[in-house]
Amino acid sequence: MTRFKHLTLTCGLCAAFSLSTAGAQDLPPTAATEPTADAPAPEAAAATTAAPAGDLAAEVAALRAEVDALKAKAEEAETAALLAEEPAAAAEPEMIRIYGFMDFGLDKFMAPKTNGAAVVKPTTANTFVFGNLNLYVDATPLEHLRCLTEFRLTLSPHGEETSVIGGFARIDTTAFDFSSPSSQYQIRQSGIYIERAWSQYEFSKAFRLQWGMFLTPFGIWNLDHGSPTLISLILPTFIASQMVPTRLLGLHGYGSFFVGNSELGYAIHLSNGRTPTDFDFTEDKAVGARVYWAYESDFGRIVLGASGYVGRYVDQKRALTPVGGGLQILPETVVDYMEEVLGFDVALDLGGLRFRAESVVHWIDYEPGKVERGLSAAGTPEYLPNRAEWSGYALAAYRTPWRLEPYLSVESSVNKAAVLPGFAAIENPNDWHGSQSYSTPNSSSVTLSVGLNVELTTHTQLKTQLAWAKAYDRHFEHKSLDVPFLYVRLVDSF
Amino acid sequence: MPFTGARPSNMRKASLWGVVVLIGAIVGAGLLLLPLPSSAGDSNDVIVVIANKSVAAVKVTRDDLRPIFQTKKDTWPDGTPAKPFNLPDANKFRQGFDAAVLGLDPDRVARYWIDRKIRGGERPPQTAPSSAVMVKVIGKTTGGVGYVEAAAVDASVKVIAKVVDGQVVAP
Repeated sequence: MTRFKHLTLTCGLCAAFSLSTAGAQDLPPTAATEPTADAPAPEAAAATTAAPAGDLAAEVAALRAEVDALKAKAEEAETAALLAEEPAAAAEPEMIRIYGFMDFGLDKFMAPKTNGAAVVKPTTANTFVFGNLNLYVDATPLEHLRCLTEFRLTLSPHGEETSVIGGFARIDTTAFDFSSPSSQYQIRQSGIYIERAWSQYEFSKAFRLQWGMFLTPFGIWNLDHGSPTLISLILPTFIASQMVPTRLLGLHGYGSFFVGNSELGYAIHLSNGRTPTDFDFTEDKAVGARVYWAYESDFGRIVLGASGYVGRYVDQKRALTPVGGGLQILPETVVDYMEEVLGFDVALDLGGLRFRAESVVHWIDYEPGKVERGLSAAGTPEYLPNRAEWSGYALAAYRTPWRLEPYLSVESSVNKAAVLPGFAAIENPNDWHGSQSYSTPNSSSVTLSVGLNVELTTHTQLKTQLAWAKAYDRHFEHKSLDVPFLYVRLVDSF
Repeated sequence: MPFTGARPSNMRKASLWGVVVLIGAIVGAGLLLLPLPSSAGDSNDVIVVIANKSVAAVKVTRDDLRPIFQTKKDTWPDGTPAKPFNLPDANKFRQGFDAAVLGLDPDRVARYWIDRKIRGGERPPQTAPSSAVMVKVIGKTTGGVGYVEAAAVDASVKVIAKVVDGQVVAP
């Protein structure tokens, strides 16, 4: 549209200029129009001023009329172009739009490397970090039909360390670049993470249907999603620990409508739920819903919401199974649990004040003998019990007129475990709490943060967050892991 | 003094202070480069809110206009479609309208639409390049609504509100 506008205006001005030039050429030739070395310029000027004033005025009026007509034509063309941008009127499908965001910054784990929590970070040194590079491909090929894919380009999994028996192993994706004329040149393969990929048909604002992979409509943070939009850098625990799956594969219907100044919104979804692969091993699908009430007036905006999710998680392995005197390879369920998640959220925008709070409860109930297991840092087996987890945070930020936004947040998480008979039947019930990991059941944590966001431009923010995390392990009745972190990110949206 | 291989603790402190100074320098430089927020239009300019003649409403309020220009609502109270159009970002009437209806200055408006985009939400209203084009487009778009300076209005559209001294008032 902008290019078209420039084109039409440029054409209009060129035409106006050519008309004026043509008008000048229509004037009767005088000595002034053909100056020579023998006819000095002052004489030419005198000849020009000698032209009849009435003719010049008429000519100017005619030119003005021409310019006005061209302007009117340009406006008509711009109007037609704007009207044609309506998808229904567009002769050609709309071109794809590509946009996104990226962030880059600095991390510092500000505790001695002997601190137990250091294991969750690759280094305790100051390190520059490449954060997000997310690209959106957004298209509206037909009226009411929209397709959106968001990719995250990441350096992972190179460098990731995982615990194995007897220590840690680091993933190395370095490979020789065989296509390079220099045979010794090496590259590191990186990952592409699909954040979401859905198509959507909008029946109305009150009902839109998405199919594909979508961000779980749960609370505030998961939908705000991107580093330019989120206030703080550190994700809430319930997002980071996936108390609720952050993205789902299936169907998602949502919409909103107004009753007076109140906006009432909802979302419902049917999906594979949490799965170990991209397939669902069971017929019972996960379901979830979100409802919210938003009210906006001269005072500001308030949103109150509630979200829920219910799903079964099943993992399987293939096993040789005796069947009718022979052997068959059949799936065998190794992990099976039901989970329910319930969350409440409130968002308040009052002048420059932004307040956000969310509270999430997560229940997990394993089928007897089908619990999750893993290895502790010490290499001993650990088993996760039936449990209830709670996590909540409150964050208050203030946007000053100088594009500075200081904020303060507090977050708390509690894991409360219970050992059921089915769990006790398969292993020594005392084994499961042998874990030395950071998120041991029957533990809790509190995180305090202060931060400052600086809006350098509307598309660039410098975000800084200093956080203290304190974790308690109630089972062992000791306090540990008093950890300060410093995060800095320069966030660009484009 | 023999080199022990251990890194002196004061070096670690110096390193930490280096980080703090670096962040401070970046923030300070950013602040120096920042212009203060621009004023959102001249409050003395009367902005008129215009609509296509198909729109049944004879007057609307800020609360009626806000969700339409946030693209959260696409119908008028009587159920007919509502189709909003904006003037360009830098236009003073656009800035005055945004301040009165959305309660946002130009920077906040830009941030608002970036946030919506990152969330995967709808696009902002289409932009008419000038008041003259705005009037023509509104006149030809069923349910169309926009705003221009009072002098630009003609008989092809109807006036459903005014913005006077930063307030949305009846026409």
